Order: sequence, then C-alpha cells, then structure tokens
Amino acid sequence: MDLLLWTAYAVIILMLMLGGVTFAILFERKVIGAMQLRPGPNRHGPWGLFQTIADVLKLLLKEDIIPAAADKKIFLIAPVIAFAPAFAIYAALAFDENIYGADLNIGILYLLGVASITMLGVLMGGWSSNNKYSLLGSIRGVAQMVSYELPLVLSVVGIVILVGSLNMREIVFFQESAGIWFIIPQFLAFVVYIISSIAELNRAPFDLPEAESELVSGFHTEYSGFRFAFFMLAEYTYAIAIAAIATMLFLGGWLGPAFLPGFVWFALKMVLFMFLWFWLTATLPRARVGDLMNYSWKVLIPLAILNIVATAFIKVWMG
Amino acid sequence: MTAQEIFFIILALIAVTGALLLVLLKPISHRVVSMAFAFMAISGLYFLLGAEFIGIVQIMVYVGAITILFVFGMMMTEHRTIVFERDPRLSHQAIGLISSVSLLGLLIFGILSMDLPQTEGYVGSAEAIGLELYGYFFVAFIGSAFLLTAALIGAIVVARKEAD
Repeated sequence: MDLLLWTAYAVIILMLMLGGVTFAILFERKVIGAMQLRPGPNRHGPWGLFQTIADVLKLLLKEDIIPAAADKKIFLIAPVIAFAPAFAIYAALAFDENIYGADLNIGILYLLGVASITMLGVLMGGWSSNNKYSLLGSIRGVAQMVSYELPLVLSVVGIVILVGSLNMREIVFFQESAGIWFIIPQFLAFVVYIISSIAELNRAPFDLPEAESELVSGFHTEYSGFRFAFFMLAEYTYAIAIAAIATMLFLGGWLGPAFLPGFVWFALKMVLFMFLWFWLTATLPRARVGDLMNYSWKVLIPLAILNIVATAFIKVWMG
Repeated sequence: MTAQEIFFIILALIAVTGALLLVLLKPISHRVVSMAFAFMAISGLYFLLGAEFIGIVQIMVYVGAITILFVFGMMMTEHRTIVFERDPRLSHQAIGLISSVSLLGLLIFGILSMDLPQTEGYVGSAEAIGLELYGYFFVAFIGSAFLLTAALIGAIVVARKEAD
C-alpha cells in the first residue's frame, strides 16, 4: 500500500514538474522579451500560453537523427542519464509542512550528491556525439560544474552549523522557530549559492558549455528531436530543483503569512529565484573561460570558507 | 514477497549485471556507464538497509567523483587504438583463475558462516559517524587528510613540471 502511495506521489510530482518546465520556458522567454522591449511569444493561445506545447510537439515529430560515427548506445542513453538524477532530487524536497517525499536525515547531502551526477549525462552526450564542438562543450561544462560544486556545497555548510541537522524539513522548522529566514544571517552564503548555482545550471552569463557563438550549441549540438527535448527537460528540471533547494535553505520554504497555503508560498519563492536567473540571462554578457575558473577558485571558495569560519565562531560565541 | 525484497532483487540484479558488463563489454565508454549503474545499484542497496549516509557517500564518491574521473581519462586519452586482449600466456590465465576462484570461495565461506543477529540492526546516522570520526578516530582522520593533501600537491607538482 505504501508502495502504491509513493508511486502515486512520484507520478504526480513528475506531471507537475512537466507542467512547471513548460511554463518556466515560456516565463523565461516572456521575461527576456519584456526586458528587450519586445512582446516575446504571442502567437499560440492567449498571451502565447501554448507556445512551449507547440514547440514540444514540433520536437516530438522531428526525425530522430543519430550521427553515423557516434557511439550509438551511449548517445541514446545520455539524455536519460542527464534527466534521471535531476528528477531524483525531487524525492527529498518538502513542498509544504505535510507534502514531502522522503524525510531523509541527510537531506542536504542527498540533494547535493544526486545533483552532482547530472554532469555525467552532459559528459556522455558530448563525448559520444563524436563532434569536436560537442566534446569541447562537454569538457567545459564538466570543468565548470566540478569547480562550482565546491562553493555551492561550502555555502550550505554555514546553515548546517547553525541548525545542527542535515534534514531539510528541520532546517525550515528552525527558521520558523527562530523567526528569521536564513537569507539575513547567512547573506554571504546566499550570494555564493546563487552565483555558483547559475554556473551549475550552465545558464548565462556562465553558459560557456553551450556558447552558441563559438561552439554551435555545445554538448547537444548533434542531438535533435525528442532527445534534444530530453536534454532541455533535464536542464529545466534541474533549474527548478535548485530553486526549490534555495527556497528551503534561504527563504524559509513554505513559511509565509497564513492567507495563502504553504505550497503556494513555496511556488512563489521558487518563481522569484527563476526570475532572478532570467533577469541575469537578459542583462549580462557571457564570461570568459579563464575568468570563470579564477572567479570560482579565488573568490567564491575563499568567501564560502570565510562564511563557515565566521558562522562557527558566532555559533560557539552565542552558545 | 515484501516491497523491500522486490527492490532488493531488482537492485542486486542491476549491480551484478553492471559489474559483469564492466568486464565483458569492449569499448571503455560502455564499461564506464555500466560501472556507474553498478555503483548506483549498490548505493540503492545501502538505502534499502537504512544506511542513508553510507548510501549517499557511495553516490558522491563513486558515481560523482570516480566515474567522472574515469570519463575524463577516457576523453583525454586516445583509447580507440588500444584493445584489451586476453593475456595469451597460459600460466597467467591459470594464476588469475586460481586467485579469483579462491577469493570467491573465501567470500562465500565468510558470508555463509557469518552469525547475523535477528534483532533490529544498528543504523549509523551522520551524527554518530561524525562523533566517531572526530572523537575516537581523530588521529587517523587527520592522518588521512594529510595524506590526501600530500597526494594533491604531488599531482600538481608533477603536472607543472610537465607543463614547463
């Protein structure tokens, strides 16, 4: 019986997430459109609401092309390897006080550990295409993801020190009882988390793995149709998951004034994060590869370690 | 059959198949992927046992770090020309067979003669592991940290020497 409930929960989350990804793409195009003083997609449905659905249908109906020199088996399995861990993150998220999947004692570790596997799909996809642009894109992508995972993980440690638990729900409960969201006492960690999450997600201004002016479109150059759609789905699934983790860690998860239910607050805070990323995409030019690496190793990691040391001192000092 | 048993059989099958394919498949890229699947299945077994911390460390270290390292090695080197042939010398094959069979026999003997308590198992939480590591095993922990740092610095020195 439990098994049936879990399966139902997973299927419902999958469906909601597919809907979320569909409208996140539309939201991105609309936001960037508004910032560039143009209407954005507006042909399909009122306010362009069905644009992404039409795009996905187009992708599904396209011919499935596999390059002759590609490593076929890896080429076929790479989009799945990219998507599965991104979706596995949702298992340990709590969307409301009583809506959650696995209540893991090591929630944060699980989220960060599973999130680190998504790069395997990128690497496999880029390598198996047997195309120099794909290979360059995926090497860049993995170098970037490995470098930026360190500040991402280190920025979270401050919160773990304050709460004394790795459980995601307990972190939110701590914020409830303390009466303050972690964005205020852990502001430095928040800044580091946001910057390194952009790099983790390969979004502009850190979208070097798919820099279209130099690498065609990076690791998914050779992918078309349904498999390309799967890579896109994985990317946005991961983006939404990172936004959800940030919501729980820094913005108090489902907490908020009582006139709206908790999961609505959760969704609103997630949208806030997504908006921040789309805003940056529309605003900033692409960074250089060397600058990007220097920035991670010489600025973000020291800042994150400084935050850990300061938090530890404050924790001991306050008792 | 309980849900736990069903999941155990599925995960065990994936782990064993992955490990077998790791040895049997020809291209390195396929081997690496099957290795990743085997590691994932093993971490799934840990989760099934309730040892969440060990399970996630398995994912982080083996899938997240070691598999990525293997893939990097595969991408950076020319592996298409290198073929892994069977060693033609009979004596080597015999030694390999004897050692692997005796290892398997030892393992099976150990597992079968193991006296497993029927009571509820002890589950090591992250907190308990942390207390043990930073308490009783503190010197060993710091020692391994020094060792890893030395290895890291050594790798950088070697790489820089080649670059100059």
